[in-house]
Amino acid sequence: MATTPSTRSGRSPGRIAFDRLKRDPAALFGASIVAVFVAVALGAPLLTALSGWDVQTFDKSAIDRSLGGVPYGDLGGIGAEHWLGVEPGTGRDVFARIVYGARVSLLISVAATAVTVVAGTVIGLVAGYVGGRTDTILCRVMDLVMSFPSLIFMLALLSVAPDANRVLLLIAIMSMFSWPYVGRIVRGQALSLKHQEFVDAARVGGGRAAHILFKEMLPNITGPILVYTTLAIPANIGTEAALSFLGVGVRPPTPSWGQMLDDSLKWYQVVPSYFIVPSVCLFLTVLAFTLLGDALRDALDPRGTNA
Amino acid sequence: MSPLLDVNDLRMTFRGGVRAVDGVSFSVRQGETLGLVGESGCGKSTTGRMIVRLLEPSGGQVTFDGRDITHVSRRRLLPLRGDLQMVFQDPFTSLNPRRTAAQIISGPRRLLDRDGTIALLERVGLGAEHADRYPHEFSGGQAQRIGIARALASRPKLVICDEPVSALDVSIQAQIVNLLRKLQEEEGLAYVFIAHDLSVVAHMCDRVAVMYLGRIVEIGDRKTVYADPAHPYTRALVSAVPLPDPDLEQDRERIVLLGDPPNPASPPAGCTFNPRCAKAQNICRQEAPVLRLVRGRQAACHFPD
Ligand SMILES: Nc1ncnc2c1ncn2[C@@H]1O[C@H](COP(=O)(O)OP(=O)(O)OP(=O)(O)O)[C@@H](O)[C@H]1O
Ligand SMILES: [Mg+2]
Repeated sequence: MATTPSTRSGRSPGRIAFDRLKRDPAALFGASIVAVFVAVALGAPLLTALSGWDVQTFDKSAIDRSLGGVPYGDLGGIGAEHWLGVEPGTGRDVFARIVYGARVSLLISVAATAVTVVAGTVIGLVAGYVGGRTDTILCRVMDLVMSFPSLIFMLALLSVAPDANRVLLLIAIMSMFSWPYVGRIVRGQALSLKHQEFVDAARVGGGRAAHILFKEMLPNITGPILVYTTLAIPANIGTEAALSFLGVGVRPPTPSWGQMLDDSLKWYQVVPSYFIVPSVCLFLTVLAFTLLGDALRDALDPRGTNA
Repeated sequence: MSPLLDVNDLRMTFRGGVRAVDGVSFSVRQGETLGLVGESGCGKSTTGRMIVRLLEPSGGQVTFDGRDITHVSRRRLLPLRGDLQMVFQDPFTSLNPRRTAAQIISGPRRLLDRDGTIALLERVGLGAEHADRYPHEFSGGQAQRIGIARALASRPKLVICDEPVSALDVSIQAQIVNLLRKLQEEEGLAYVFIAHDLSVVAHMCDRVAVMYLGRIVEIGDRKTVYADPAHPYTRALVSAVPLPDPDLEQDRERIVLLGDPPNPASPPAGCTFNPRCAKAQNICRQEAPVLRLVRGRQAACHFPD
């Protein structure tokens, strides 16, 4: 390290990890699917304008009312008119619902992850750095929250909660049960960092606690936090889908992949495509984020060989 | 004139009853260097860290520039922070890997602008091209120069140097020592220079204090102590300093200390050095000697040489 000064000076450790990531096929695959997913979610109105069908329009001509609403045509009505077919029973465009479902999915999972990560990081840093009684109390709280069987509690809370803003409610409840996982990771890192001499040096230099926590310690923990974040997003996508599937997630008419899956179960024998489309979307998205997260963890590993 | 730093009966007892520092007193005048020497674990770093208030002393006083700073709050200490700085032992763990040299030198309080940073880099033997590099791009010696620049950014009066060269190659050590001496002349700095043997401080100090198991066993002018040590422990340390003349080096007698230093959690009764001392008598096992004047320096021994 010291004997081989890099030709490009000022290459930060983060930059090195990024360069490694660019050479990892799994990371590139994951990143491209994630990019498509994000583009679809953000460009949903544009895409539905292109396809010609929006989320809420019932296309009565696409379903056979005498058969209870089975779509005309093979594969659930997939064709030039409805790119991914129509919803059995209502005739709503599946492509539009998938695209807007991606939006809901992305919004909820990213926001819940952001709340989780910010809360967990701040609490973990404070616990690790301050130590003593503050640390003991915060650790107990984290243990307590982690000991809840979270899915059941989320179901219960969501069932009794008032129906004001379902999306905000989901974000709040999902992050409420997951921040301690970040808090634990960050606390452990903070605990070992605070004994490093550069933290002492910052104290001798007159640094306030906020400077030490966020300018000295936090930049050295971004690796694990970033890895947690990329792995928490797919987990939250899954949780959101599960909650919507179980009927306590977002409420119709807001589309959601989990809700579509729930709905598709009634039809899976006659219209299997209606089941397959949201499943594949869910699977690919979760897989892509997970691949990216794993690759990121490898890239940030200081013991990695190909610097 | 009152001394710049006055340490009086400083004590540190860690949890578990380890008396890492057990009644240390010394003072440092403006522009002077005091060497603080002793084996690993004798409490040198703990003493240094209490002076800069990285550790809260369990007893005693630290007076800096006429003010008692032993227990002042962080806020009240802030104006003095700039006057009292520290250089750390490990050049790499003491530099934040995620901050550039310029950010590190300028410190949490952003003391320097770009020009000031570069001027300071040049004074410690680096250049403008190093300003935006990260610590992993430096060699040990360069990293320690950055650590020194950081300590100097606030134009301190006193710098605690905690073994600033012991992690470096021997060839680099002399360069860093020379740099510290040059800066001392330019700025009129005072140093407390911590080292684990007497050879590093031999050319650096005006006075030297020898520590053993949390206490000072001998303290005095460098020349007096080196030429004619009074405490048997100092004698052993002096005999380990290599002599420049190879013939003299061949012939001289080296005193090898027996055994390891005792556990500071349960120090031996009487003089803590007695289990390793060739001259120990009964009184040494019963009564702890106190520092007293012996031929122009202070030594804590019942039977000084
Ligand atoms: N935070 C701490 N908690 C408990 N014991 C400590 C702590 N820091 C130091 N000690 C103990 O205090 C004693 C003195 O330690 P100190 O680091 O001051 O020694 P030192 O003279 O600087 O040694 P070295 O040459 O190895 O740096 C040692 O026995 C050490 O184990
Ligand atoms: Mg030490």
